[in-house]
Amino acid sequence: MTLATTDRADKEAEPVLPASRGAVAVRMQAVRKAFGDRIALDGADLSVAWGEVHALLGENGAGKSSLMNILAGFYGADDGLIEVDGAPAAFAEPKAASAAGIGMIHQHFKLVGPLTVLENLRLACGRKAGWTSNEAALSASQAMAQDLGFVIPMDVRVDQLSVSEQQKVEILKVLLGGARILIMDEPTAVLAESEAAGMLELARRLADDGRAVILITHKLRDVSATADRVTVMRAGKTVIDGAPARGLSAAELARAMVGGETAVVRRGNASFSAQVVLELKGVGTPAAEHDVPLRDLNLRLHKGEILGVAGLGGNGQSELLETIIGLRAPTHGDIIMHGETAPVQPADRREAGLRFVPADRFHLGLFGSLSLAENLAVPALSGRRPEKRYWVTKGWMRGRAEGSIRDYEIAGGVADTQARLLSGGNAQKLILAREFEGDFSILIVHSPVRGLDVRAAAAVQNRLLAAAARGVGVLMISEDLDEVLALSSRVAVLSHGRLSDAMPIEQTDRAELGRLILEGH
Amino acid sequence: MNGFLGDWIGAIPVFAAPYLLATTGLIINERAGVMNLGAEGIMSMGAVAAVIAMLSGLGLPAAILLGCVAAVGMTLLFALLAVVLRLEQVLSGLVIFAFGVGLSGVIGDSFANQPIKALGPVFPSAFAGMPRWLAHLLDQDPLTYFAFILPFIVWWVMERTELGLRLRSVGENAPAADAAGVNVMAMRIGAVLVGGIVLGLAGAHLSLVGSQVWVTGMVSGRGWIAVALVTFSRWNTLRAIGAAVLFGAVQAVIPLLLSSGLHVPIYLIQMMPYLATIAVLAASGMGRLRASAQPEDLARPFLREERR
Ligand SMILES: Nc1ncnc2c1ncn2[C@@H]1O[C@H](COP(=O)(O)OP(=O)(O)O)[C@@H](O)[C@H]1O
Ligand SMILES: [Mg+2]
Repeated sequence: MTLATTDRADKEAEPVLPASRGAVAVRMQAVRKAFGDRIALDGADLSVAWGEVHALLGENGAGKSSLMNILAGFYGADDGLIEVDGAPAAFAEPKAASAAGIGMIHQHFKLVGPLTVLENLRLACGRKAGWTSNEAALSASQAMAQDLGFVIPMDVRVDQLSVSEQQKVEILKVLLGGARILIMDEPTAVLAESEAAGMLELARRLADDGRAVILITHKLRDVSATADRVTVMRAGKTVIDGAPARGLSAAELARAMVGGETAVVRRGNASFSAQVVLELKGVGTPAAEHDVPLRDLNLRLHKGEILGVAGLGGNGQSELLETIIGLRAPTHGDIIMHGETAPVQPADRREAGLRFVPADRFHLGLFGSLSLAENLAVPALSGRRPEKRYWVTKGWMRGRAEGSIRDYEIAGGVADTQARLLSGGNAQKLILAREFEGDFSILIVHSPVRGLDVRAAAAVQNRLLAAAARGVGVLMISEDLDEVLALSSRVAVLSHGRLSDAMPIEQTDRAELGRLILEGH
Repeated sequence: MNGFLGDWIGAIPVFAAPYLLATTGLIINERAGVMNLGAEGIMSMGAVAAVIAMLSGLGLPAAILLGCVAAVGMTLLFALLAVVLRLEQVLSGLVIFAFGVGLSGVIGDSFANQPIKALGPVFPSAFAGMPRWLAHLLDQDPLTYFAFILPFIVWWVMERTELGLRLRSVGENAPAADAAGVNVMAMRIGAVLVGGIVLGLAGAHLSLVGSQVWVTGMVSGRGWIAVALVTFSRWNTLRAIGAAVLFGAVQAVIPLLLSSGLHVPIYLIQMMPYLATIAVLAASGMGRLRASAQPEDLARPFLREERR
């Protein structure tokens, strides 16, 4: 297929000639970068050829995004060699990199939410593509979208789109801007399984057209499915430099990423108590503009079990979590904790032994601009427990934080570091450290390992299993079927705000769950 | 329609114009993500500089120009603090407010309380055949006309041009604008300076058209009211026209009430614009309008390598 659409875009995009396929597109050598006294890159290398999908693999915090931000002109390197097509290419700003044909799809999208899709496209590539009118922009954008098989409304505000649609807008943006070197920073992390497969296929197609595609991921499956070659980074250094992907086993890659020790998740326990710790009886929530209403939802969570709630995102997952923790009032139905009607206030539910880990770690989870110590201290400062404190000192907060940081292996920060500077995996560990403090009997988690690397994911999952083994009832809302199958004792499917009956895990399988997820019940 | 009501309606444009200019200038700033709380100080400088030019015999065009130049001078200082050095914008604005009001008092000291020739109507005889209130309403000076035309121009640039798109993107999401190749700092400085020119015009209007004299502290809170009107008009210059007319009407009724011999305490009457401000802010708060229209990166400095 060809991606160029209008004559104009044809000229601008300069499709790579098949002759250059295999030649070096990008060479980065001994690149260094420090942020203050934190070293992000400590001599990283990367070499990418035209026409290949090159996987860039590494744990959270390994420096993958930093390296690519340098290539795309967002960060300046402290040291090192950077070449594009054989010419020196240390770009001072994103604009220069983009003019040289480098397009990056960031982990956190760079879209202007209140602007429409078309306005975002005009903003980013109007000048480069030479669009003189709104109509020209619209027809070029629609042609490109159609060519890629994207169905995206052009006149809708970007912040009204789903994450996967926003990602497509980002792809349109870089391709309309004529990118020949495409950087995709963890594109599959935010997608459901079926969508992720489509995204990988697209990466393949774009490379087959002659582009160089750099695919950042920490899912080993993405690598084996799509990549030609793979580069692995660990702690700011390159440990495998462009090896053919076929020649490496998943185990070898995993070992290279984490450096020796591999991550193991223990299997969940099928036997649990008959005692019900949390029960939802016919719970419904109001229909509102952006929400999926819950419809007559019934659920019983037992002491010591992990009850998995599978389903595609946007089927009522957040609404379910928010209803259980008390942020959302049901219009009808009862929420029963330990045999009694649950208190109304979230703080009182917490008091009664409820803890939660939300999907968006910095929205409902952490205070980004507060330190780790302050984040950990917050629950101890509220609530009605006798140990509630009215007077706190930095020393007291730091002291209790240091234990948690050690126990939960929170790397990348000390007690005084602002929480927003943590990588995803460490932020998640911080939330666990705080939520697991004290006695609790009910734990609601939503997408607990989304965006985490193997080792961090294993650490988190092992914590969940350990909690269940101690008798905590764990409700695990997850969009990752593998995770649900690996950890749950029982599983139910959430679809369009309705929850199926829970089935024991050994009485169901991937195929049946997949059918329930896609077709409803 | 003559008598009280006619006098009132006819007087509204002159009272509304400074609010409208100042609000429009601030909207240009805030749509680019810069909150300029120095408006009161910048307007004071515009007002005093225009009067000094007049009293020095420079003529009206030069007076308007000088008002703008003085305002831009203050604004440059603000841009340096808030955009280039990326200091806290609220604090930078307060510094400019205090400095501008203070400086205008000092340099205007020897020019204070000396009447100047007013900026007169553009078409003195064109409305002769109309009813008196209508003629009064339509027959305005060039600055007032400009004040009512500018919001349309700004709206058009903001919503219909590439420049406006880039400016809005900087105010809504600076990192995304940066990624799209927009020079965030240049755009913000540009917006602040253009806004500064308009604030200067607002100040010049107050002294050249409104009072026709410089009195220390004569801006008397109008800059702050304009800050509130930005929120009330939901960052839209066309709505700003309505907001400014509302406040112009409140302000215009004051002299009429005072001269009507009504037995109301004078302080109560003079307080009206401020009471109206509180009412209007409460109204916009209740409608939850603020959340929906406020530029997302308002008052948030941008540095490319900084994590947010
Ligand atoms: N803009 C930044 N400011 C401060 N620290 C940063 C910034 N970007 C990255 N880092 C730090 O650099 C290290 C590497 O991060 P990153 O490149 O995001 O890793 P990866 O993408 O492999 O997860 C981490 O310790 C991270 O906290
Ligand atoms: Mg990353």
